[in-house]
Amino acid sequence: MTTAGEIVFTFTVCRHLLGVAVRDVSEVGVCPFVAPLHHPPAPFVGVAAHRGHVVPVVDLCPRHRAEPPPCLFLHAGDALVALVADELGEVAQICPVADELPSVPSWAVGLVTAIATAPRIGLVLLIDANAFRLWEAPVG
Amino acid sequence: MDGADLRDFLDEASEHLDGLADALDSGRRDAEAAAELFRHLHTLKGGARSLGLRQLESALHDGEGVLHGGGALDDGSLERLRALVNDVDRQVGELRDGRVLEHARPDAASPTSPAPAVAPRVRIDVACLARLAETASDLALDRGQLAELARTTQDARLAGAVQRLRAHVARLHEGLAEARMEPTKTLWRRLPGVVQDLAGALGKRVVLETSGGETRVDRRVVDALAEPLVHAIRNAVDHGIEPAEARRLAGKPAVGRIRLSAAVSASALLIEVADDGGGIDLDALRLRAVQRRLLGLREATFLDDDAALALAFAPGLSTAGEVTTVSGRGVGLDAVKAAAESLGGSARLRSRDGAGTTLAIEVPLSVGLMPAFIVHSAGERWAVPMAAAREVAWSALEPLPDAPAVALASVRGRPVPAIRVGRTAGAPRGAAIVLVVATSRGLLGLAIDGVSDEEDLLVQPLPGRLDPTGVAAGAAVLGDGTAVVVLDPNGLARTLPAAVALPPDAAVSAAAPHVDAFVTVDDVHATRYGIPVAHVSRVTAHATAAAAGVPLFAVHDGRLGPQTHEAGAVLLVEVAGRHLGIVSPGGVDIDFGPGNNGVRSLILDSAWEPAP
Repeated sequence: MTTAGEIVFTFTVCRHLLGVAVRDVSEVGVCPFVAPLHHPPAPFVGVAAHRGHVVPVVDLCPRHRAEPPPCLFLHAGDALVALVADELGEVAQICPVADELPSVPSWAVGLVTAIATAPRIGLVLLIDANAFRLWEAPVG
Repeated sequence: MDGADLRDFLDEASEHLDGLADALDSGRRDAEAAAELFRHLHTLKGGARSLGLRQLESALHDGEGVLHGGGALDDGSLERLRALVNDVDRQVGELRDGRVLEHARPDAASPTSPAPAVAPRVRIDVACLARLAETASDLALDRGQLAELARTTQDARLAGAVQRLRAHVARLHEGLAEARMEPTKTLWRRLPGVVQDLAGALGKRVVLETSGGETRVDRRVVDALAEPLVHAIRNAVDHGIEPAEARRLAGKPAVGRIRLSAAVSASALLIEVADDGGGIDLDALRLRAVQRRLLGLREATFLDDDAALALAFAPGLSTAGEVTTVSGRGVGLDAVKAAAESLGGSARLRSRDGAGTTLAIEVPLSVGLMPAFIVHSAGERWAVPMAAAREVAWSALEPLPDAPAVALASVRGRPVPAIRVGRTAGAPRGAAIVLVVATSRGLLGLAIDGVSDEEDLLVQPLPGRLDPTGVAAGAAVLGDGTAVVVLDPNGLARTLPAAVALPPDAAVSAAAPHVDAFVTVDDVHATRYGIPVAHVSRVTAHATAAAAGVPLFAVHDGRLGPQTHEAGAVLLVEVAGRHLGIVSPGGVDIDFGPGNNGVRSLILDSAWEPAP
């Protein structure tokens, strides 16, 4: 859970500004070629190669993109996950404003853990990289 | 005497002889040192007796006699033991060389017949073998990148060197794979004792039957499954087999039966633990899941039986009415599932009320490199294990009225149900290239747009949640540095409606590793000609090749000539820097040498010129 004063990496997905704790970000780069999966559970869309290993790819707002989008490689438990972004934003120190979530886009329900403000950039929807853990998934 | 048994004994004997030598050289003379010497001698004697090695048994028996008084060791006894260990060492050496004349077991060979020769073996540290395998895998990945470079630069010399490198890497992998193989029975050496102890503690009578123990599998598979199998067996004894009284009331024999079997299908090892107990109480599982807040009450109530059965794999969800001291803490099936998935396999349960439970564990035979075809369909790319591939054909697709996602393809006159590969491919219709694969249900056609390459893949398992339909065997990084999902033919077959019958696979020799894959085409007289798969860029449809302006030819008596059919599959090949297509009216096959069923080789070299 991201707490007040923490440094987050911000990025946009479908015109929403999202933030993830810097400690959860392993690397930022261009999204590698995504190999599709059969009926993966949203928001997973496929897998990609990253430094010789296969990593799952999360696209919160999947659509056709003409150019390879930027990507955040996140620590989700012991594994890495590639999170597709539309644009990368600033690294900012945040102050959470509410744990009660007003209205978040449908694709972010269950992922956004808090809403925060950050100087100059306004409201940031905070997400927890652990939401993308796959190996120790709970049943049901 | 079985050669494998003798080899196992000789391996064991080397360890005990090392232990004896160490103990004798340690300078210790206390009772503990004597006990250690006795343990080594006694264990060796048991092994020698079980193989009918009377002379060796007698020498070891004498050694025990030296130690029989107990207490500390004196100079005399140490001296006699050293002489005796030297004698045993000599006898073991003779057995290893196949020079010994002694095998006095009356029901075996005559007393004068020599022992089966055992090839000399060296012991190698597993970690060292793993490092070698890793290096070999890195080498294969480097080879893939070089192959990609050769393709993009069109450098013929580099391409030739890559071809030779490919053969060397393949041989290296085959050697390493052989070095890693172990018989499955090493997995269940401990299990009869586990069953006996546990059944005794629970006051039950249980027999364990095993079969298929000679099946050889990757040592890493054996290591990863050994402990989970103990959990599975403990579960079967504790929760599966009912107490004798309950069995009597149910009209069953008082002695419970657990059947442990290993079998090989395609490239997978299937291990089953089947008990004839009471089966799994699904309502109890649903209730326990609600109590543990894994499911809501409503959700649990409407959970179908298959999903309820899958709950047995949830961590900490015991099926026993009460937690027992032996195995009822829910540790077990989740460990089995985790181990199977860590190997890129799966674990499933079948249960019949009152008749028993079967746990089926399916894992790849080897966790090393997997040769695979890279296929493309609807703009997507997938890998298909080469061991499962049987044939490629161009076929019309006739949708099945009762199963719109399945069509009937005609492969050399034989109807084969086929599905479209790919997320966005839609229902199979029209005509397509059909890659026929062997599955546990029979032959299945995969309707694709083409086969673009063949690569040795280091397959990494995918978390089960990422592949809810179970159609992926894992994922891998290709030589060009991108990822590909490897399809599991058995998983694809499982997605078909039960009513769709798949024709049986005539060539059930898929477990044998391929030597060389080559693609065969028909000539105008329907004679088959083979081209090594490495020379083939890809297989495509006639219309696609014609639209791309590829010069098209047919095979006439072993030479290329004018095309006679403007339909069918086209094999795109590169000869002396020229790209051309070979039309095969009857489709193309994939064959594995060297036993090539009379297929003739089509020679494509720089001297090639099309026939007039």
